[in-house]
Amino acid sequence: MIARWLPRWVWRWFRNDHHWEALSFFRGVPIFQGLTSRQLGRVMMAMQRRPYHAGEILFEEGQTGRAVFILKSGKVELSRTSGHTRRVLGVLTPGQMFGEMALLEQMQRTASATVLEDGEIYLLYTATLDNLIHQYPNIGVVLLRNMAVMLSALLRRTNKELDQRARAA
Amino acid sequence: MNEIKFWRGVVSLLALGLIIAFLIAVWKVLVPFLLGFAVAYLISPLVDRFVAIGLRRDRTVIVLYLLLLGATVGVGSIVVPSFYREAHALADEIPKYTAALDLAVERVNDIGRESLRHVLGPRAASFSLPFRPEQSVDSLVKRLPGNLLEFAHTGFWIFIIPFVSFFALSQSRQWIDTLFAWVPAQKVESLLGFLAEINAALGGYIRGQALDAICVGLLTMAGLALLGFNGAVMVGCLTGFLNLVPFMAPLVGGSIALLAGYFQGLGFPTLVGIFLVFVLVRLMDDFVLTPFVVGGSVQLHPIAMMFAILAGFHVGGFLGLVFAVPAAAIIKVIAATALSDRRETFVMEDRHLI
Repeated sequence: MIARWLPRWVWRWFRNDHHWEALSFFRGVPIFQGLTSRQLGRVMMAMQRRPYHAGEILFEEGQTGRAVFILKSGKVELSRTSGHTRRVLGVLTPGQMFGEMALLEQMQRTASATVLEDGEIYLLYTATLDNLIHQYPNIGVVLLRNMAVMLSALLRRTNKELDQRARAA
Repeated sequence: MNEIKFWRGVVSLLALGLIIAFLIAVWKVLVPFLLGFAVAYLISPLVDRFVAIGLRRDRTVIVLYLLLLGATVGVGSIVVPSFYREAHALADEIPKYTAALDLAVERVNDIGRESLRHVLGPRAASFSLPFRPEQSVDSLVKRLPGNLLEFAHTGFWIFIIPFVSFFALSQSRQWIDTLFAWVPAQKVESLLGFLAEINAALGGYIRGQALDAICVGLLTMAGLALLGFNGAVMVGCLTGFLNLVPFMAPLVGGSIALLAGYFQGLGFPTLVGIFLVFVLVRLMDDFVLTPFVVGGSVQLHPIAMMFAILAGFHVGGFLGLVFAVPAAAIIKVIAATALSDRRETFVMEDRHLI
């Protein structure tokens, strides 16, 4: 009786419900697919959470990108300015990641990000991710593979758009 | 616009100066708190491992603290009696040591008088070195109650350090979250980078140094005990502790061990053996322990490190020596981050102009 009851009680006493809730959210983020719960837990430890309010600017076009952003809740608008005209590139919803180019190279941001609706965002600093990859190469393999898949999809989409434009011309 | 920037810079520098002056003024009070944070920083990777598998941080810390308390009591029950025995033996031996030193000083005085007699004549008879070991020990003993009071003051640290480290370990995540919530949205990336750089510069160094100090202490203890040195536990602990300060352990630990060995009447081969123990431990530290245990260094130039150590000693004595290198590494990260942000601002302004 005690042998069955005690481990359950100990687990319930130690269990962190917020962690498991966040874990199920991150399972849905493409870059983290294929990671085990323990591996994902380690990545989560390396991330920083911050609440954001509508109107706040996360970063501006031209700033050096040092972190990747993952939207947990709320909405974020990506825009680009050329001359005096501002063009909206898209509105991001929970579960979407942006600024991922910073993971590969610390170049200038190619768009600005503004919060449209109050929400929560997770940030992963590139140097921290590098450190994590060196410490746990198994995690690194999965993350880099997922990034390669994402870039490949992006390249396919760009090729398709270029084809469509060429045909239209 | 430029004027506003100038005054903002002046105010920031003044604020930084005031903070540094305040920290130096309250240094003695600050030490146990800093040590508490350092202990929390040492243990945090262990706690993080459990948190990463979905356990509550606060409860993990409680259980870990109970286990660490048990381990400390266990190790203390072995080390403290040996320490007590060796200290007691040392106290018994002190009169013998001072008599031997007195004899040595008297011998030097005789040689000096004999040599000076040809030059000074009868006045040479009054020559003597301005050092009497027996008097020095007497004054040390007279000062002992004051020193003990000082020690009793630091005794409170035994309560303060675990108290601070417990809260730092269990609530550090909330503190960092609050800090990020305060910072303007556009500065979040910079703050994140700043904290990551500090962690990268210090993380390996502090944890590695602590582990390295334990290894050096244990190796020295084992080597001296094998040579039949009386006081191996005491000198081993001291050498391990001194290893936290760059360049200090072999110089001070080795000198004390050789002097004590000489007064214990150990033969010349054993004294050479003691010397070799310190050389071997140093070589092992440099070529085995440091590369594999300490790993990354703080990336400070040796001149900067030397300056930091001397400045640390000037401000805070021995504990200032311990904190000097980490503090210098943090200052270096602050300067690098400030310069990088400034460079980025120039690039942004340039872009807007174009």
